[in-house]
Order: sequence, then structure tokens, then C-alpha cells
Amino acid sequence: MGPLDKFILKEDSLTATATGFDLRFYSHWYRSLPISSLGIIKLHINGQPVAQENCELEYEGKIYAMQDLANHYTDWWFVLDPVVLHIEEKNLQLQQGTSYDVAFELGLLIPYVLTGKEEKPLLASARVTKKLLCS
Amino acid sequence: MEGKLHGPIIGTTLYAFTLEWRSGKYSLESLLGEVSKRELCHAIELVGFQTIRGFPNISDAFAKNFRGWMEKYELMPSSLAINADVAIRPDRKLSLDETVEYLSRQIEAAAKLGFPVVRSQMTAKAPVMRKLLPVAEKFRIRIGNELHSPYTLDHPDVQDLIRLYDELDSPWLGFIPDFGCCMRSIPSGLLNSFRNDGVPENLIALIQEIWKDDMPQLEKYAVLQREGQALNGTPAQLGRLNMLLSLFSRQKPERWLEVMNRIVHVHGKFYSMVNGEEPSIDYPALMKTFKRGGYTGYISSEWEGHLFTDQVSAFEIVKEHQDYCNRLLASA
Repeated sequence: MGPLDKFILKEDSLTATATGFDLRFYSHWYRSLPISSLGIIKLHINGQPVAQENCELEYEGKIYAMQDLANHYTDWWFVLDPVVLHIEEKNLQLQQGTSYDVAFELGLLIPYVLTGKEEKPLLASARVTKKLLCS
Repeated sequence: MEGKLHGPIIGTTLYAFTLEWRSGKYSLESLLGEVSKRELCHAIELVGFQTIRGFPNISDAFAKNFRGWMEKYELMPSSLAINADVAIRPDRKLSLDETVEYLSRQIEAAAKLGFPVVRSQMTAKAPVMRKLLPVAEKFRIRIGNELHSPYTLDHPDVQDLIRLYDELDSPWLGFIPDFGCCMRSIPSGLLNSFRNDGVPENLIALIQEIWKDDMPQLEKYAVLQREGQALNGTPAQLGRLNMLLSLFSRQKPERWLEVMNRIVHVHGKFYSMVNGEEPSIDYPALMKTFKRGGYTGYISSEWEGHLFTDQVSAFEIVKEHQDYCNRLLASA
């Protein structure tokens, strides 16, 4: 969408964990938004899709179920902070020291920009693809 | 006093430094220090939800630090941009009272930090603003509804507010014009970013043609969809062109005189500087309008080219823009 997209994934965004792997990502909007603004989170690793039911989100030590994000409209995600996507996908065992093709789509619902006759919040989407070394 | 003697005063907003802020190279204090060191201005505007962790909750310690930085770097707060996030809930929009409460907390934060003005948004409509008047009076904060494209003076919601403010006739309620309402062309840098992303020339020609036409705004969206699809524009491409229609309007600069007595702050939006001038906005007419209209408040130098380029130093282009505005004001 614009120059802020380059901040979404950093070189150290991908890490292996005891139960799967984590993707640490940042916002591509200019200001802080509530957790409920996370409208679309889609991830592919080496072309393989990651199922939503195998993910959960963590911010400031709090764990969020993916299907419940929209209800957390009083929890604020500061614009300089990452959130962490925890993934436990049996068919995706990432190895430390290996590079992976990461394709990530992030759609943010902007609560003060209303669109269409129904005045729905604007969906600001960004897609990034990056080869990341898993640490 | 300076304003009364010399007319508008050029300040800046930290929003202009969005990419520098996101780069992680600056703390809030060091960003303020850099603005001060480069003598960009004395009057600082910022977006609460961009700059302040935990906003609108302001701790006593943060407020003390902030006020200390203002003094240390010889800056003064001009306007705090607050947000009317009426669509924050997934199930429904905020009610009238919820919106008033949502904004009141941010107005209180502005008072705690020493801002004299807040920038509200047109998603807070006339009934909300009527209920906010006692809050503005209590905290002695002037509230300005930002008139940002597509909310030009002819927009029905803006017309409602003009009538309300004439009825209430309060110094605490007014407007903040944004110069994106008065574009004379689409910034070439934005069109080039579209080209770099693979938008074909026939679609770029189409959006320029639609944008320059005098048809109603809603019709423009429909024409773009219809003719864009006929030219095989993808949904992603048409979405970006659609956004452009919302960002820029073509209101005549002189029309700000119609609400000049209600203007509490101004956003000096700009996108590029070429040979010392902003080619896509008629700044000579705007500066003349505000000076001759008797406006004596602040104009924040608001570079928004960061929407489409990261190849520019915001510090340098803001300085260039401010010099330009001051030259124009001196001769207006």
C-alpha cells in the first residue's frame, strides 16, 4: 500500500518455538489501533497456507483467540510495538537456521474512515513477501 | 501577540515525520529535539494515538516530561489531533453519548499536556459537537473539526456544523481546514507510485480525467468502477484509485473566508516541493486568503508525501515548505 508496508516484517520476525513457530509483525497504519482492528491475518510459509485455527495472537502478555479479535476494541496496540502470532501447525515444522519464503497479508479496519452506504470501516490491506531466516 | 501582529504562524506536526518515527531512530524527546535543532518551528502538533503510548490515558509522569521537553526545546503545543473512532466496535457504531465520552477523554488528555486546541474529525457530527461544548468550556480547549477531503464546505455534514456553530456562536468550537481540500492537481509522486506498482497508463489517465470533472463525488466513485472495470482494472488497482478520490478535493482557496471567523487551527498539507514551490496546491492563493482574512493562529506544515515515498527527508522538506509559506505570507 505504501512505504509503511516495509515495517510489517523485520529480518528477525520468524522464530522457531518448542511447539511450532512465531511470526512477529508490525502495523502498516500510522497510528495505534485497537486489537479489534486486526481484520485480516493470512500467512503462507513456502507457499503453504497456515490455518487460522492453529494460530493465536499475543500482545503485552495477553493471548487472543483469532476468532475473538474483533471483540477486543478496548485493548490498544501501540504503533511502535509488534504483535506475535503463535503458530502450531503439525505440517509445518520450521528449523532454526533455515530460510523460508513468507507471504503475509495484513488487513486493518480503520475505525474513523467510513466507507460505502453502510458506513463500514475502511479495510487497509497490505501484502508482503519476504525470505526470512528462522532463528 | 506575534500572531496578532504578523498574521498566521507556521508550525509543524509530528505526523509529517511518520516514517522517521517508525524507523525506531527517535524517542519522542529526541524527535522533538531534532525539530527544535533544525529550527523548524516553535508550535508543535501531534496525533495522540500516534505518539503517546497508552493514549488517551496520560500519566502524571508523562505529562511532566512532556511539558519539560516543550520548555527544554523551546517549543509550544499547538494542537492535539484526536480521533473520532465511531466504528471501533464490531457490532455497531458508537452511540451519541459513547462518542461524546470517547472524545471527552482525549480532550482531557489535551488539557493535561497543555494543548490549547484539539483536532476532531467529521465522524463526530453536529449532535456530538453540541454535547461537547460544555467539555470544551470545562477544560478550556478549542475543538476544531478537521475539514479534510472529502469534507469540503459543501458537504452536508459540514453544512450542519456551520449552522450549529452559528447558532451556538462559541469561541470553543470551530474548524481546522486541511489544504488537501484545495488541490489543483494530483501529486505526480503518487501517480508515479501507482505506475511503479503496475497500474497501467490508461487507468492513470482515467483517474485524472474523473478527478478533474465537476460531477458529484458519489458519481465519481461509480464512474471509476464502471470505466475502470471496462479497462480491466483489478480490484486492488481500483481500490487505490478510489482512495485517491477521497484524499483530494478541488475547493477554491478563497472559500475558506466563509468560515474564517471559526478557524481554530490549520493543516498546511503538502506532498512535494519543486523549485521551492508546491505544484499540486495553490499556496499563493491560500496564504493570501488566510492573511487577508485576518487569521492569526497556527498553520501546521504537514508533509504527507510519506504515503507514497520514503526517498525524502521529512525534516528537509518541512523546512523548505515553511520557508515557502513564510515567503508567501510576507508578500501577501
